Amino acid sequence: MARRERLTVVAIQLGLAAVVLAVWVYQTRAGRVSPILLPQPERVLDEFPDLVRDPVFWGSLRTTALELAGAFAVAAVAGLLVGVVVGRWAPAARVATPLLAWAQTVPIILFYPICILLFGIGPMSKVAFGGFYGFFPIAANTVLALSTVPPRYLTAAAALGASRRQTVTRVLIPAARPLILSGVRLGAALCLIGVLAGELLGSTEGLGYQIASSSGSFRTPELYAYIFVALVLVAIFNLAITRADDRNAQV
Amino acid sequence: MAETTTAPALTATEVTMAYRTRRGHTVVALDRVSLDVRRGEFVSLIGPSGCGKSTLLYILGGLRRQTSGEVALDGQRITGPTPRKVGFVFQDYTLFPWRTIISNVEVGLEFRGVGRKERREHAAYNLDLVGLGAFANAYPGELSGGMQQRVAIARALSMDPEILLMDEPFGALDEQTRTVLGEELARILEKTGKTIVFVTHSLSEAVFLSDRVVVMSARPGRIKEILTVAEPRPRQPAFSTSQSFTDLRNGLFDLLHEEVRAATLAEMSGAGIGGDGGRRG
Repeated sequence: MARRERLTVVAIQLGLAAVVLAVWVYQTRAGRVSPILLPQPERVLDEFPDLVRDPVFWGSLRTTALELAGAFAVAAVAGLLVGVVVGRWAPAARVATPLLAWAQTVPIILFYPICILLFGIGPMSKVAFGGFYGFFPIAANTVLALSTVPPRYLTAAAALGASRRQTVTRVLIPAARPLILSGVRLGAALCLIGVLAGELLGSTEGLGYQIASSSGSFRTPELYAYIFVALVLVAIFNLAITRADDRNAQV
Repeated sequence: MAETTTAPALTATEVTMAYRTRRGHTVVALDRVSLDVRRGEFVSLIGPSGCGKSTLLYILGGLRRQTSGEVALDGQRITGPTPRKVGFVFQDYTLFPWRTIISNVEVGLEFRGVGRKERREHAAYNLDLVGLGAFANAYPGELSGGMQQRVAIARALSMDPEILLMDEPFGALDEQTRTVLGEELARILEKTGKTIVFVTHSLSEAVFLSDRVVVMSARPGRIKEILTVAEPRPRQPAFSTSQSFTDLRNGLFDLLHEEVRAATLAEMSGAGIGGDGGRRG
């Protein structure tokens, strides 16, 4: 039953993709859309053999992947560190919680030019910006998770003879884990946005840069190919984060 | 099994608990309460909301410090939790939702540093005792409230404490479930021979389970009277429909009624400073 339902869902999703593709093929064949805006699908497909042979493509992919890994590392380490320090100390949590929540509503992209001034046009500014972007949800969720662990769990732990250390490792952290992980997932998604937006807005390498430059010179099929590659990278990254989450949740 | 020796296992001497509310009032939750609980005895604490009965239980268990007075276990002063001797069953669901049932039952032994194999055996035995052996690998969220509280009892028992402190363990359950669980508890306790202090709101539960029922007064909490239930243990379900049961229950009702009335009136006039810390009776 559940299996059949899942199959139906997947079938409908594939159907929707097919519809999009069909409209794409039909519209471009009929010549109703300028090929500069939307090239024929096979023209985009033709780009891939060239891309795979192009060292610039591999260089861009590598740069973006490394920036992404760096940004995520910065966001996760800083976010968890700040989150744990603030979250375990009630007065600090009261001060920080509204600030962290507010920071998440600010268009952080505004600070990107400052990032460029500080770290230059190269990968460092993307790591810094992506990390900064991803930091807030991770820190905010960690603070919230630790400061809202139900006191009854801690009382029970005390009655059951848990030491201070055991209380933290066996009760506090597992109790806070689901909320912290959802913050990490959110932070990872924002790292992605930060890194790609950073590359689009000002850079000399990376997938985002290639997207911006092929758009600027009207190489539309290449533009679409690069967008597709970026989407694949995003999918792989998200899958990796989700997988890691699931494994942790099984403990 | 149920014989009680004269030596008190747990003693409270002139225990007073006072605290300041956020508005700066001083509330006396417990006023010079003295109580002896003998080994093997089942004692219930009953009283109006806010009379400090749960507070007294937490103090007896070393989970909260009294303002003055002393509590002692086998003649030794209690200054903090003593998980080897005193087990706790809480009112709220305090099983850890990220652990399986069996791993919840063994968690105290894990904290104590007992080896994996030994604690698992011990936990399995106690889980069987409460009749939930089949749910060892389930998670707390998959069990009903009554089942979760039975697991909590198994968790406390697996520490093999001499004394079990129970804070309205069946308070959140419906009347029928709680009656059945009370009978279950009576059966389990006969097997284990533990000393029990039991906080409850239910008159029937108190009479059915206890050797003595301690009736507490409205705030400030004092001991108003102690009722003895002479019925031999283990108690049978038939006891709850007997004349002596009804008489005891009615006696308890009269004693409590005045206190609940006083407490409610005080709350309504605001003199009791209800709302601040009143939840933990």
